[in-house]
Amino acid sequence: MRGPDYVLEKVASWVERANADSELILRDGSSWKLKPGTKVYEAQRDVIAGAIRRNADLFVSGNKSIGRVDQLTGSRALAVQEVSSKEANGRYRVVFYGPPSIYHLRTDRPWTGGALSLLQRSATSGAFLDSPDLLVAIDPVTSEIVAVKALDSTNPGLSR
Amino acid sequence: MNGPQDQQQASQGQAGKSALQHQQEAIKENFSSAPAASPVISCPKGALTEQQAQERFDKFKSREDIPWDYPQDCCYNRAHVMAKELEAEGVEVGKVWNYAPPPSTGNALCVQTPHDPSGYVEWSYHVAPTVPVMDSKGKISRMVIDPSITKCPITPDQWKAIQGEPRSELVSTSAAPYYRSESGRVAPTPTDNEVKGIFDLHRERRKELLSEWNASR
Repeated sequence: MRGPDYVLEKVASWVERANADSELILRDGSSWKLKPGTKVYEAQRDVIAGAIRRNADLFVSGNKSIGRVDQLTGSRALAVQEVSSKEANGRYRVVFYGPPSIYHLRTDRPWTGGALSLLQRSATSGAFLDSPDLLVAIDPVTSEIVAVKALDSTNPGLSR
Repeated sequence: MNGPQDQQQASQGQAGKSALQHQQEAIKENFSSAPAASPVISCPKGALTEQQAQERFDKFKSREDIPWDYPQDCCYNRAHVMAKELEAEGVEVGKVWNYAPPPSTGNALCVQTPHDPSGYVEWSYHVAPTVPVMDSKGKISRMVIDPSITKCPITPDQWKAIQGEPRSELVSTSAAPYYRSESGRVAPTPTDNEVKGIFDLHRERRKELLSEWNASR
C-alpha cells in the first residue's frame, strides 16, 4: 500500500469498457483506473460489485492525480471489543465483536491518530455486533486496519 | 382311557406345562429378546452414531456455499448454519466456544492453516457446534463438528488443544446463541437471508485475499 492518497467512500460510478481501462469514481470525486484481464482485476471487480450491491464504502489506496490504484478493498460495519492500551512492535492490537481474528493498527500511518481515537471510543460505547458504530476497512493479507470512519444513521454500512 | 391314572398324568402334564410357561415368562421379563451377542445397540433419540456423525461432518465439508477455507472469519455463521440443520434432523445440538485469555495473561488462539499468507491465524475466540455421539460400546460423548480445522468429529478438549492456548476457556452453550462474547453478551440471530449474505461477503473476502496474496508472491 503506497498511497499517497487513501479514500474510504461509496461508489459513484463504475464503468467497464472494451479494450480500455475500467473507471471507478467514488463519491468524493476521485477517479481511479483499473486494468482488465488480470486475476487481481477479477477480484477487484467482485469487490466493487459487492460494494455497489450493499451500498457499502470502498477503500482505495493509490495516486488520485493519475488514477493509479495500488489497493482496493471492501469495508464492514464493526464494533470494537478491545484495543490494546499500549503499542507493541509498532502496532495496536484490535479485537472486534464478531470476527474472531486479531487485527492491528500500525503506528506509522497518516491515519493512526484519528483511527485509534475512533477505535477506543467504540470500545467503550456499548456498540456490539448487531449495533456497530464504525466502518472499517482491513487489508485481507496483512490484517492491518487501513481505514476507520464513524457510522451514523445516514451511513449504516454492512453489519457483521 | 379316562381312568384315574390318565387323569393323574393329565394333571401332572398341566402342572409341568404351567411351570415351563412361568419360566418362559420370567425369562421374557428379565432378558432382551435380542440375540445374546448382538453388536447392534440402539442410538438414543437426539444422538448420532460415530458413522452418522462423520457422514454429517463430510456433508457439511462438501458444501460450497460455506467458506471453510476462510479461517480468518465466519466461524459463528458456519456454526449457526450447521447447528440449525442438525437440529432440524432432531439432533440435540449445542455449541462450544473457546475464548483466548486476556493478552496480559496469555496468548491468542493460534491455528496452523494453508489458507493464510502467514501460515496461521490468530483468534480471540472460536466456536463450533457439538453433537452427542455414541461409540461402539454405547458410550455417549459430546463431539465437535468443525470442518474448518479438523477432518472428523473430535472431543471439545481435542478441539481446544488444536487452538494452541492451554489457558483458553471452553464454554458450552445450547445451540441458540448466534454470537456470544466472552462476557456472555449475546447478539440476536440474523434472518436466513442475512446469514446467506454473510456467507456471500466472506466468500468475496476470501477471493479478495487469494487474489491479493497471489499478486504479492
